[in-house]
Amino acid sequence: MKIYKVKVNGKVYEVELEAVDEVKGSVEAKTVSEEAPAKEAASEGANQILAPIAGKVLDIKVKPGEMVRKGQTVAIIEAMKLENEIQSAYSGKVKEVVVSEGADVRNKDVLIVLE
Amino acid sequence: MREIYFESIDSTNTYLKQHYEELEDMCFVRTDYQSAGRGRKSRTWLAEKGESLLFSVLLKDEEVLKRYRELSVLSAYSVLEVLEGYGIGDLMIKWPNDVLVKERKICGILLEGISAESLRCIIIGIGLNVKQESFTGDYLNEPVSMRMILNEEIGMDALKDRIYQKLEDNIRKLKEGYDFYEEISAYDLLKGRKVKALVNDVFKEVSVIGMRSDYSLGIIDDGKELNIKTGEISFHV
Repeated sequence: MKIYKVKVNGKVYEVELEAVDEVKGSVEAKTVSEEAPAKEAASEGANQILAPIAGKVLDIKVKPGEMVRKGQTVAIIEAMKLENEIQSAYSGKVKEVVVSEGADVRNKDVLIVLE
Repeated sequence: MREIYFESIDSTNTYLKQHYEELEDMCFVRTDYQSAGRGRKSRTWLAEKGESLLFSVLLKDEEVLKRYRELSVLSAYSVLEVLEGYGIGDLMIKWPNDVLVKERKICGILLEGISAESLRCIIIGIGLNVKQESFTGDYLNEPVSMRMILNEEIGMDALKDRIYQKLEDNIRKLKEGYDFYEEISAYDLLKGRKVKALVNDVFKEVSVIGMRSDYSLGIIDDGKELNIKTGEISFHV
């Protein structure tokens, strides 16, 4: 009996395989460990507010030390004259404002870090 | 289509931003009067009651939201097509979404989006001058209305229905992968012209190459070729 780790759709399973003489065999797999979704795996990733599109930062509405509620608009990014309100997916205190007004950002660039 | 009507409201865009989560895709909010109508960068958009067609459309379809770069220009093109249907000529689009008649602005469009980790919705806000013979408020181009051009009464309900239908048709085509670039380029007002560009509150002259296939605007500034993708630079003919 050998144990293999198999990753399926981002989840890791331990699979026990037993060699059998017949062509058809059976495999029993159980979920032993799972890799967390990418955004929760790294502690720093969960507290970052990222740019959802590439564009120019029109407005940063928070400062370091401020408390932010989940759903609060924290920045506005403009692209092709679409003004995009960035709402925080988390509640927390602003640790760092990484970008400034007028900065060009790419998709997934870090805008703001919460504690 | 789900249509919501207010006799007056602060802003149809603001209403959809506040309620987008419970409203359906392509929901449509219309009013006769906005007390806090906005253009880009908090410019005001003012219209006397009942004289402009003022409405906003909510987009939530993920496949459509992925094409956000094209939606500004496509919104303007959709209005332009309807105005052509009313017999208005000399229509052009000043990149990316002002609709002009003989270089006078007849329609302003404000696109706003809401994101939380990803783009959740886009709201297309349209203000079309229909019945005015005079204007107040902030504007960069001298405005004009449908009444001033056609010299006849325009039925607001029929106009609203035609614009909504055209938007719906064009957005469906966009979702199916259609590329409007060739059609829209034919209405590119700035193409091949020397224009004044307002950059950081300073005017400078630039040469416009024209709208690119990715819907950015190609210009030559101080001998350098640039592709403009944001509204930081506004152009004046």
